[in-house]
Amino acid sequence: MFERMAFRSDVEDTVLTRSCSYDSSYEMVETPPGLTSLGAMKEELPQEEESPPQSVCCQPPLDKPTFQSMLDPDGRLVNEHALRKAVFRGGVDPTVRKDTWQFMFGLYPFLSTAREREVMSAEHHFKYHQLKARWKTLLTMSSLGKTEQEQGVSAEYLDDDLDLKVESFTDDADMKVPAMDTTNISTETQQQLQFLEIQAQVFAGRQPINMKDIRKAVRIIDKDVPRTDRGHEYFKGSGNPHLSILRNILITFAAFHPKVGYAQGMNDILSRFLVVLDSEVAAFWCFSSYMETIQTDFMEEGMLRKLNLVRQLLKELDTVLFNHLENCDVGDMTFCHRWLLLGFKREFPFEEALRLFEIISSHHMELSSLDVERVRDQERARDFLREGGQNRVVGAPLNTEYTFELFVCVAMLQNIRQQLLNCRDGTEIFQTVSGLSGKMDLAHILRKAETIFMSYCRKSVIDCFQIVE
Amino acid sequence: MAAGPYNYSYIFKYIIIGDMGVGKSCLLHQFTEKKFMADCPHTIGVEFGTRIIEVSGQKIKLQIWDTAGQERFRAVTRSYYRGAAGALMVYDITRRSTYNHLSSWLTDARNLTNPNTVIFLIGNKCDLEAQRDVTYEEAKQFADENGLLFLEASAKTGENVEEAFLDTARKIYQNIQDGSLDLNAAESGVQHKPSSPRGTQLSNDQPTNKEGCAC
Repeated sequence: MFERMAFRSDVEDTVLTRSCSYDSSYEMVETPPGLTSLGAMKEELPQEEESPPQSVCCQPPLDKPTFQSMLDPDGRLVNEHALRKAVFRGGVDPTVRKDTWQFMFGLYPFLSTAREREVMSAEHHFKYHQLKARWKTLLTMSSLGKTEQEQGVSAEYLDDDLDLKVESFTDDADMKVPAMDTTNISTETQQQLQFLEIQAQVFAGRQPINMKDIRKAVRIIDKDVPRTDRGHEYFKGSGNPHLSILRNILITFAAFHPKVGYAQGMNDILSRFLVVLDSEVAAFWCFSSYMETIQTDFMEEGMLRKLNLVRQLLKELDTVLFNHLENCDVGDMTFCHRWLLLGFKREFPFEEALRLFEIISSHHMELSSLDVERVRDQERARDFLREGGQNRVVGAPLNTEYTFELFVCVAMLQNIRQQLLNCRDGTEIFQTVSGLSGKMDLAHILRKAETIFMSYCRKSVIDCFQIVE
Repeated sequence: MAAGPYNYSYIFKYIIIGDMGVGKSCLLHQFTEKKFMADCPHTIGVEFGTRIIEVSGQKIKLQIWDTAGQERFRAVTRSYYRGAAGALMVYDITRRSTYNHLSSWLTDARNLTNPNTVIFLIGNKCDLEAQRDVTYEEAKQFADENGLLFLEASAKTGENVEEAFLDTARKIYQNIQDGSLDLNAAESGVQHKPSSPRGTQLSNDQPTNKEGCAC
């Protein structure tokens, strides 16, 4: 749907682009002792030549001065790779998280200037509000005479257990698009803004929209919004206005993405964007852009895709644990469905999960990235010198569908490997896994995931080398 | 979770199904923790709870699988119907649409479980009498026509929550006693666990880690 928007085409590649320059620090990564599951791989690697373990991840977070130093005088973020790498290493400091996410989640292209971003920001503002006004108007028109709540145009989030004197928040259900602050801008710019507004109106008017779909989405959204992160400061309390914003964004997204619509769990994803960006418009566009890359995970036909990948990956990396899960009848990996769908949101405290989410979303460490190619090249060269044509077993080649988050899953499972192996049946495994929430050390899991990832790269090199021979 | 003597004689597997927002997780939480969880986040895929109860002097461990209500999650939840001895099918008495969808949930339950699976219909949120949208009589008739056990309950106040879970177990136990439920059938949803530590266990209860570690 939104792919048709003029500015979307600039934005898209920022989300999908992979890292593109070399980085020698990967050489240092090594399998730590005690990773029994990787025993098979380790046997194939001569130990004495390996460097001491040193992790790329778990460095201090990207701070404001570093972020600002990445911008050129016109405000372009020239080295996208450096940003992604910095985010991967340690996440982002809260003071600069908003700015970083705006690039990372496609609100602005990395190479846009600060001035261009001002125009885009106005464009985003008008387009979002026009889209929102469109479904609100339709809902009103289709059930005239009813209250806004009955029409589904707005909702109140009053907690009936709380004092009813709490001031009720009434949503700005106004169909008019809120004006931008134009006090300090020239007439020329004002005209430009008017033009953008008309453009946005035309754009929103052209989007196909289906009342039945919207009503269905509204029903589900209204069930989920009041139970979204109510423990978090940002959404706490009766009549919290942020809940109405959450609702507006979810309905707007669902209304104009009829293929995926609204699925439970999207509220959990959006709440992060809203907390970090603290802007309805920015959160909508970042959320939409993120959702467009992962929407199949939320559709019936794609729901099992990542679970199958975890399954395959675990089978390759840890046959013993895999077989045990199979014997316990939970080899379908359903117990990690929530981890992947919500980006580990309920497995770690909010702040930590946020960091893990940005680290995964940095897409710095992926099997398709050139950094990984480099590690593989080095491994090939070393291998050639070392082993020179010796016969070894041919294994599976590297599967670029194995994204870093899948390695995080495997790391989380291997972290409790013995406990899992002690479980007698699937329910005990479910119980063990659900007991993990809030009890894991994120830094430890990340290091482990990284180690497994790098070992997988090396293993695939060794396997591929054999094929070339 | 070391292997050892079981402090219960049976394991019954339950599933909880029904539309989103009807209070499936809250019923489970009320039953296992005796607490009402307000603002309980929605279930993604399947979640799991357990409690040991007593029926006719026998200790029974209930393994309860709680499922996501939104239709598209059925891709994930469907495999958990298999081998359920009890199915709790929940609707919200204040939302007619959740009641209207019962026939589709029932079809799923019938198709994906075995003929002996005890299906219990729960009309949740009966504390919200003022907002009632489905009468007791209407639902009772639906239950009778389809051979379901039925109660209205409230996860919030706890009313009838124990009863629904326990009555289901009693019915399953009765089916075992009168022989209509074959314990040896592959997907009966019931496992017999002799309490004695030296008692024979079903083969699939053997701690599988032994062979795993030997590799």
